[in-house]
Amino acid sequence: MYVESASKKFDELISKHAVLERISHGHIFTEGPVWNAREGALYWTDIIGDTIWKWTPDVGREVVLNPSEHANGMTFDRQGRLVVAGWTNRTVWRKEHDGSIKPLATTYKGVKINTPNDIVVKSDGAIYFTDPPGGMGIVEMEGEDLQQYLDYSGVYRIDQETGELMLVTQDVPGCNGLTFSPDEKTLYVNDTGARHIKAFDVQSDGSLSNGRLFADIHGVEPGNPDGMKVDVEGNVYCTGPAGVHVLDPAGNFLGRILVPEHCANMAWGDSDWKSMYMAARGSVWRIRFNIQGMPV
Amino acid sequence: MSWTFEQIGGSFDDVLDGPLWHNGALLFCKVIKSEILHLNPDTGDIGYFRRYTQRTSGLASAPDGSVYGAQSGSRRIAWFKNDGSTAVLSTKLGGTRHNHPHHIITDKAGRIWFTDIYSELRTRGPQIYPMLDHCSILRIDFETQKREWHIKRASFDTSEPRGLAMSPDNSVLYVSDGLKDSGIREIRAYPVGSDGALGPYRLLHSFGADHNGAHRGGAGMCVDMNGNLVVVAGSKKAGPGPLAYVFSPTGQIIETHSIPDDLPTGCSFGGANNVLLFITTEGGRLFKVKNTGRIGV
Repeated sequence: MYVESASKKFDELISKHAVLERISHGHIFTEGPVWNAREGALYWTDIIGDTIWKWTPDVGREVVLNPSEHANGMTFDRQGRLVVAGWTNRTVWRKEHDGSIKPLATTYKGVKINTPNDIVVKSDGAIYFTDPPGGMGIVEMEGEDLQQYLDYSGVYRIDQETGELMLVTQDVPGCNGLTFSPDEKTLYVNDTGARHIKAFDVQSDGSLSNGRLFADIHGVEPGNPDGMKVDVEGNVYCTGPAGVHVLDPAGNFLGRILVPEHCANMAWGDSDWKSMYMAARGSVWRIRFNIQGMPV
Repeated sequence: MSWTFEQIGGSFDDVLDGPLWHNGALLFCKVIKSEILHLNPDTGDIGYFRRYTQRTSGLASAPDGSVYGAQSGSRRIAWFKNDGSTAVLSTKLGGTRHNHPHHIITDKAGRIWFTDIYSELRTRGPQIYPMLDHCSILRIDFETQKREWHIKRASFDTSEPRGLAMSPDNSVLYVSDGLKDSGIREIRAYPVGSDGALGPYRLLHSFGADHNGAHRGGAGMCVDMNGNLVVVAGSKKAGPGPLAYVFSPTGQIIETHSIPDDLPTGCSFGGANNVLLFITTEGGRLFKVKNTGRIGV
């Protein structure tokens, strides 16, 4: 019903009988799910609802931040601080342990960046984020400044030590979701408009090289490459038509999770990291896998 | 008077619209490419005024020398500020997001009037917000007590309002309503009350039909100093072809001139002493018209 297998491998990853559970509803446009292992809670954002939420089993959901200036992708850094792609405030920011908000990236070479979309932290503390311009054009996501200044959509790296911003690629015009392979030697970046995933080699200085097509995402149902994550074996999970598409490390299509709403992003969670939480428009859904996802 | 049409800059390979004389230059929109260009009509120099404009199709001058734009692609009125940034004005009518703004003007009181239609082109991102159940002229006032912009519905009987112009004394609002092959295709004159409310309209002109079909209605419009109304209208498909009409305030057709390209979209007076007329077309052409014998407001 929810699991559409296209390979024997997929049957190992997840039971055909796995079911989706809806853990939260009544939102407008959910995004940025991320599991907080310290609290045992899921965080996500409702971009248009302008709120960062968290949900804890046996407690339910609570507001973390409202307004959130239309926060989008989120993750936690190694110190457990929430790191946010601040979509329409055009800032990558971090919620400090004392609750204050610290901007980490607002300009590149003196020019205001576009609208940070999704974000990931490498084990060395470097933050990588995508910066397409979409947040300046979408209805009900209006920030204070709707003018695009940069002529490209970049992927950037923020150095943990210096805070310096490095443009690591501008070769993914529709860049959106991004995730590292388990060994962090590869960075995957998907392209919403082109409907594919590109792979890059990660150099020791954090820069990228050898950009190449990793996989096309196919399908006729609503849905596009948006959020993206990997499991411990390096299988790649990418949103696409009908829900979440799963690809093996070579880019072969294994199967899909069918989500009743347009899925924008997903996160591994629970104490064993075997649950996948999916942010899809008005709701957040959960499904159990046999395989463990990469912990945050 | 024999009007002289001079084409500027070849084809722009895009839908052109929204010509506006502003700070000594002509601004006009490349609608689909989402760019606003500025033209020096004397030298012919063309450059960018703004890029990434979300399918802006109409422009109006703001009191501080900045520009308002009807951003069809994002269903909002944008404010292109003097510092290069872009802000949004109010976007909701009674709690509902308005449709796709098309043309926009400002009046002497600083009020903003715009036409709000359905577009076949989608906005960017998820299609979450339904359209209004009407296509109307909307007005944005700055409410000084609240210090905020507020949208009101100005027309209650339009079907697809396109072009807008205000009489020199601001007592009459002209609108071209309807461009499609079926339904209303009219030029109307609405009296404007002291509070901005529109009274019952006078029908100035109704576009007809012939053996080739319905005549395309009026698109953009502007007024001259004497209160005459210039309307660009028509197509090669049916009727008298693409024309610039000049209507007297009472609706008499004073003159018409054939436009040397199909599907005109917008017009604006401009140039030194405001004696030039600029006309844009859907096929990407921009014309500078001399010898109109008219002076723009």
